Amino acid sequence: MDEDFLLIQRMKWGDEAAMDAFVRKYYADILHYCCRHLYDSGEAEDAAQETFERFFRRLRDYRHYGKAKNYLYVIARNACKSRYGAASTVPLDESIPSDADDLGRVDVKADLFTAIRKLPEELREVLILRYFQDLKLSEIAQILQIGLPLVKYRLRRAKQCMREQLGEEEYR
Amino acid sequence: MREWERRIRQYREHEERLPEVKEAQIARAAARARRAFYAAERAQPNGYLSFLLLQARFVRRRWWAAQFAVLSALWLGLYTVQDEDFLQRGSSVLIPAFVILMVPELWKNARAQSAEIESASYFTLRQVYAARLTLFAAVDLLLLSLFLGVTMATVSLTLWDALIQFAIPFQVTCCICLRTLCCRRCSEYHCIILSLIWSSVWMWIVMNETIYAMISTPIWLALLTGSAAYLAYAVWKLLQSANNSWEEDYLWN
Repeated sequence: MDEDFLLIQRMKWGDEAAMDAFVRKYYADILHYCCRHLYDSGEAEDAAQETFERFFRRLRDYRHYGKAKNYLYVIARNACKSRYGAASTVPLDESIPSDADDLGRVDVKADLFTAIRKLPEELREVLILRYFQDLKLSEIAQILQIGLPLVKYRLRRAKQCMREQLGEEEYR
Repeated sequence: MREWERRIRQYREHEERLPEVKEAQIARAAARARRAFYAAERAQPNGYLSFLLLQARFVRRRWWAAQFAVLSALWLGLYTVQDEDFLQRGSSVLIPAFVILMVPELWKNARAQSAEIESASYFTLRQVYAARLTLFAAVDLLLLSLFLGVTMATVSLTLWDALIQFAIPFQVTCCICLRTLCCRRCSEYHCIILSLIWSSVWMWIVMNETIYAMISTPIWLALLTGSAAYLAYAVWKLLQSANNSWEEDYLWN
């Protein structure tokens, strides 16, 4: 029984303070996750709000087996997928630091962002969940409904692809 | 820390630009979530019985009528040959046919590809399947109880014989139907074909005196309890997998 168990039980009983606390607890992580997929802050905010809306709509049937946050990631992933078509361009300027004097640093940072963006979706997903959302491999396996060996394989593949795109010496 | 991880951490801490989370955004999300919750609560029917009655409206009565007809034919057969154990046993091969008549209703969702529509409604697919299974179980229990009662009163058949001859083929056929329903690669035709194969195997067992005599009471008991246990597992598995087509619910419901 984790800390969310009682919170979710209170939410099911209609406790609005518990609902607000739940949203407040996870909103930032979900919003940032959506931003890392959609690259447009407006779309990301819509996707994040839709995530919580979907979760609460099915709250009555929700069974707290694991972490509620992982379930939110599953919903957010689907919400982002449905918006991918609208957000196909990469606003690179959002990721480039304003201080562009250090051109080398700018190029490298843009390259890192672009390299991640260019990864195949299944590799990018694992990479984002691991290194940007700080999830454990077992949690990633649960969210993506794949086995742990496959998660590890995809991470290795992601690293290989990044190495090819950014230059081998960077990622030995 | 590896270079790989160091670079990403550096990127996250110093370069990545994420929008600031504003209080107004959180308030909007919370308000929207609460509205969704209350709307879902209002749509909830008054109790499970109301939901069952609602689902009963969508089940075609013809299949229950057909099941009644099968049981009637079976009773007539048993009554006619009641002094001949051999033929009595053979009539139990009609039991898989009784179960197969559930197949059209259970497969309706998959056949009409209405899973998407039903899942978009308030009720989960699991609730719909649970309700349908409950309805079929209740009606079939009534039909079978009536059949057994009438049969044991009018035909020289012991309860033990009735359990062996009817409960075992019934339970195994139900297991076949429910497990194929869970299987995405299977259609209702696979279910029917497998049920017919099982029916043939059962006929071979009961109509072959040598084989039948070899099977002792403990083995019958084991088959009876084993098939009942697997049936319970098949029902559980069906309800668990009912929402598998929907990524959101797969893990948690």
